[in-house]
Order: sequence, then C-alpha cells, then structure tokens
Amino acid sequence: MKTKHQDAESLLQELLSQIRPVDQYKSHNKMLVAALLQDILKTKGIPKIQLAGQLNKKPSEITKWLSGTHNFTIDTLSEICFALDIAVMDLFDEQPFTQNKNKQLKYRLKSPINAPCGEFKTLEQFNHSPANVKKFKPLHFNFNVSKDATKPNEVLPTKRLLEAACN
Amino acid sequence: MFSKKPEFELIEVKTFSGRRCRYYSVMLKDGENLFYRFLEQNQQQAGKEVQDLLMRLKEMADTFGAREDYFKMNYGKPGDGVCALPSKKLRLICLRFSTVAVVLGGGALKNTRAVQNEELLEPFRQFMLYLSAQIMKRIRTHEIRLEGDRLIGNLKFYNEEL
Repeated sequence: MKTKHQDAESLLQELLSQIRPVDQYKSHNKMLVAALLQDILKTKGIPKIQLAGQLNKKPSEITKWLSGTHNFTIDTLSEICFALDIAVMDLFDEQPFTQNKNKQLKYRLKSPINAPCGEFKTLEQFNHSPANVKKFKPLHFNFNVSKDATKPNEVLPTKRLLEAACN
Repeated sequence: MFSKKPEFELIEVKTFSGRRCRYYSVMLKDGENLFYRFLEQNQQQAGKEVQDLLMRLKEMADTFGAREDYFKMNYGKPGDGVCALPSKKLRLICLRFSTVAVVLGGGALKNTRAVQNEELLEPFRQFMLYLSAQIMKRIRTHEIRLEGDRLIGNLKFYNEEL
C-alpha cells in the first residue's frame, strides 16, 4: 500500500513531467538575466536605488527585475545596459554558472564594448588575447571598403570616400 | 502561538535538490507534508503559478542557487530567514539558509495587502517563524549544523525531544 508521502512524491513527479522544456528554458533565461544583473550591480558597487534613479524608475521596479520573473523587453534591456555601460550579451552569459562554485563570483566583462574600460585597453588587445582568439572572430570595423581601390579590400578613410562619392 | 507544540521532521526533497541548492520539506507527525499539501491544494486553483514555482525551484537547485533577490524577504523577523517565493498571487513560505539550503513550507493565495491579514497564509508564516526559532536554537547547541548544502544533525522535532 502506498503511504501519503509516496502519493505526494508521485504527484510532484507528475507535475514536473507536465512542464514543457520550452517553459523551463524561458524561466531559466529570466532567472539568468536577473542573476547576472544582480552580480553586475554587486561588482560595480551600484545600489538598486541608484540604478532606479539613473533610469527614472521606482526602486520596486528594480526589485521586480531582480526577482527572476520579469519578462524584459529589448528596450528595457538596452536602457539598463546603457546605464551600466555593458553590452546586452553580458546579461545572457552562462559562463559564471557553468564554472566551479568558487569561481562563480569572478565576473569578467568580456564584450568588445567594454574592452577599453576593462582589462583590455584596445580592440586589438581584446582580439589577440589568448582567451578570445579561439572564442571570437577578430572584430574589425571595415565599413568603407571601396570596389575601385587599387588594392583589394583597401579601407578608405571616410573623408576620401566622401570625396570619391562627390566626383 | 500554538495551543500544542507542533511535531514534525524535516526531510529532503530529493526530486528537486541539485548541485547549487538542497530543499527540505516539513513532514508532520500524521505523515502530512506541508509542501506536498501546498501543491495538491493549489494545483486546481492556480495551476500555472504552481508550475511556475516548480520551474523556478528547479532552476535554483540546478544553476543559480537560492539567491535572496528571488524571494520576498519581509515575511519574518530580521535575520530569521523566513521568506516567500512568489508567483503572481501565490506565495510559498520558505526558510532560507544562505543560497544553499531551503526549507519549503506551505503556502496559499494572497489576496490582501498585508500577509498578517491573510487567513490562509498566516498560519504557515507563523509555523515557519516557530520552525526558524527551533532550528536556530539547535544550531546554537550544535545539534544541527549546515555542512556544505546539507543540514546535518537531529531534524526531528517531536515533543519528547523538544
């Protein structure tokens, strides 16, 4: 005969089996953003009330963001990232949670937007650092590539490009 | 607070516990478990909220740990660890030990502004306040200790042992 406890265990198993993986993934991402935001605020020493002031929001709204239940819009994320001087991708970085427990708090800003103010002084240093060589493709900003240039893929300075366009 | 001292023991919820956080539930003397009763009673009325809570508990256990910001903290006295895990109007009253161990109590839907005015929720809160005081007492006398994420020691709270 099943005991009350076994019945309850089977109910829990049943409820867990009803959870769709996509819903679990949604929940994971909401909690991930909240956890990373908490860590970034802690690392930068920014109190919630200061962030609320910067974004012109009520402190209770920041509390809700950090609770892991908020469904962020791109606009809100952009506002937060702009205020904290981080990239949006920094709020989706799984790395701190896949590492050892002890290394969890070691948060390292690694996106190019933060490179100059982080451990890398220039974009070149960021691209060629041993940690990033394998992970990322080198970042170059080749906006103004001319088809008529004498050398293939020669990068024209903006001034020359404008002059060429006027002729 | 209670006409008779409640008798219960803490048992680990093995289905849930993960590498970041371990969960315990309260089993009363008659074999009734507060957390499982909470699931039974609320799954009809607030099925989605119950599911949401389960998903978040799982995430905390596996990945994030029981971070303070995930809980509503002002449910007990300062420093006693009594808090609530919310999902819309549903509240699950918990007792949090750092980010690594959580005792899951009971809960109910909260319809009034103050938890003290909520008839269904208040008894669970009072019980957790009592449980917190009992555990603190045993921690002081070294009967219970937190080793890693595990509560070790005498987790049975029966009258003859109180």
